[in-house]
Amino acid sequence: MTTILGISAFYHDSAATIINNGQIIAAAQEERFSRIKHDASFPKNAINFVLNYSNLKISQIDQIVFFEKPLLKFDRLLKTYLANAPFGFESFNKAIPLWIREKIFQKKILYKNLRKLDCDYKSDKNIFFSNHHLSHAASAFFPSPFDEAIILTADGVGEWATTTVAIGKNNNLEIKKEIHFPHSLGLFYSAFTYYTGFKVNSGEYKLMGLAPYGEPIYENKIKKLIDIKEDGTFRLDQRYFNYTTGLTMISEKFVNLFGQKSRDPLKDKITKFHMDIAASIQKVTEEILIKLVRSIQKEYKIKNLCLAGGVALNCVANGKIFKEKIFDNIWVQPAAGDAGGSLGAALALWYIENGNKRTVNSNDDMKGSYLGTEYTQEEIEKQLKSLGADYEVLNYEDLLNKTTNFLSNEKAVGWFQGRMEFGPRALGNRSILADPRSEKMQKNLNLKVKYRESFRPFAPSILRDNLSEWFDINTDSPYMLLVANIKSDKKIEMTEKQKKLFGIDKLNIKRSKIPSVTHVDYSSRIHTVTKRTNATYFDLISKFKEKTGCPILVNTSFNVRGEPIVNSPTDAFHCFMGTELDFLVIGNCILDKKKQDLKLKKNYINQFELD
Amino acid sequence: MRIKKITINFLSFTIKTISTFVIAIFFFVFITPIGIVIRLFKKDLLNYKFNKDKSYWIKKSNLKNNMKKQF
Repeated sequence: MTTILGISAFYHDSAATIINNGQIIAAAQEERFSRIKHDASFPKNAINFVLNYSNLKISQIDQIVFFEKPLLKFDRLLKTYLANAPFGFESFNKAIPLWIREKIFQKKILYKNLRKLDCDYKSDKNIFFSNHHLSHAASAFFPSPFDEAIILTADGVGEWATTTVAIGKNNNLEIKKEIHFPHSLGLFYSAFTYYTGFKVNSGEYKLMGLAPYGEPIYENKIKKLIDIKEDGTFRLDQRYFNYTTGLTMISEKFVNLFGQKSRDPLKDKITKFHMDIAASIQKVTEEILIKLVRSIQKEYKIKNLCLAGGVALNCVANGKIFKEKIFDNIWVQPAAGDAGGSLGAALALWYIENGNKRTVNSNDDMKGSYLGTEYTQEEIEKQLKSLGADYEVLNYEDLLNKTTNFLSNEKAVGWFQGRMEFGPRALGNRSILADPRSEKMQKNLNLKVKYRESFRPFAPSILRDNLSEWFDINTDSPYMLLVANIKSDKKIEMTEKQKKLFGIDKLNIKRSKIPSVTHVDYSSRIHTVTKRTNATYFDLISKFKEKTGCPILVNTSFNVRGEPIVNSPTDAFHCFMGTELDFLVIGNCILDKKKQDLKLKKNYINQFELD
Repeated sequence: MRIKKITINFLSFTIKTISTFVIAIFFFVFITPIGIVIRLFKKDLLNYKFNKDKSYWIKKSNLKNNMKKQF
């Protein structure tokens, strides 16, 4: 039996994964424990969790692998300054001390931190280093249901690569070609995230969610920033950007091109301009991705595609790729960002370096991405009692019936069951649930529960068997990484007058039979649910269907804006008390807000920084 | 207590100033001239320029990634 611990850290989204003879046992992001969104620090809590889950200590682990090669990153850093000096001193002055302190002697730092967790760990000889995009590619291919596939990875930047194409076959994976820094699709998108006033590496979802409110009228202007070849490869005109050696994403030239300064999120409102910018960058990104995907399929003639890297979290673009039918099958790693690098690094070591055999699982090896913490009923009750919560314990059947009643009466329910999800999406184990038929639910959930911008859409969780009755798609989307349109018979067409309404005002128009999960362009980010991957959640939606005829629930992550998704029953209770959630269901316990001691209510929202 | 605080602030300011001074020497005495010479020889380290080729892909060398190494 060989155990491998994979670690990603020191940039953003630190995480740890443990695999045992190639089987994924446990994985979690550090942010869920530290309660700091996108926490980049050494993931000691996540490592402790995966070790405890496997009943192992660091000294009992056979191999430990870090998700990238720090010295290659340093090489990129130095060459970037060489290419720009004498410009860039301010950034150099910030970067060098950080590198010397935390990154350049990474093996030593890793060893020191790991030894703090177990003093019996006495040698760094079992520490390995993968490569950033190899880790992404491995996380996309090895757990996939494919024996052979083309793997496309795209993100901000790894060591040098920002985009790669790899071929995976059986237990091997080889990167064939790359696009190098500073030419990066991830950084290109992030530059617009910054320009529209959202946080880089975090607010990209917001930009994507804002896009359907606008018109892509800046498409041609955006294309002045980038040279796109027929095969989808690209270079960015660096005169418009400032991220190589500056402290901002964009230059003055960028601002002058679009004619408005960057939005200050604390002062400036989101206007039609920002919506049009969002629509335009989304359109250009989709065009590049579709060209890339089409050209690599033509070249390698393999029918399966795997995607990973932060750009693969752009589920709207994924949906467009799927609709183009360029590949027969597409599989996207649910933890496509850097957290998933810990998983990919461990699998790359097991299969590529160690040369172990691979057995393909036709359903994929991710176990529904339910790889995180779980709590027994006894532990849940113990935590709730110590918090002073008032709760009722019900049997399974009553729990489902009661929750269904709350939901159909337009109540917002915090739903906490089983193992926590690995990756940025809540997939029905750490979720806030609601009735999608409600007209006011999107606005209410955004403003009173999540405390976030009212334009942001919610996703539907739908029983897989009912998917094609409601949406124009008929494929599994268990990780909420595909966007599809609602079926025409479920739509409520807008009148000409309504179509002319300004962006967010369209939200108040009932656009379908499930308005809470129908975006203004009639699209939805689909989460398909089956009994196999999540039996409890499947039973709940089935019960809701039995009562209402609707096989769909609103599913959003169990947190407020800027907060990591809740990890423990204690986190869930704090979030429940700090927001206007009506009910909380944890394990077999039900909590009614009206019955709680109001003194337990804390000022919750100000604890978390806006992203 | 106040003297302790002033001493800590003074020391941290001194360390920061020395560190910035050393980094500035490294940047302007080594990095800048080397960078300028490289550019004088028309070497485009970051592939800044657009070209008329069909593709911007960079073929990956066949060298196997050695996971024992940090580079």
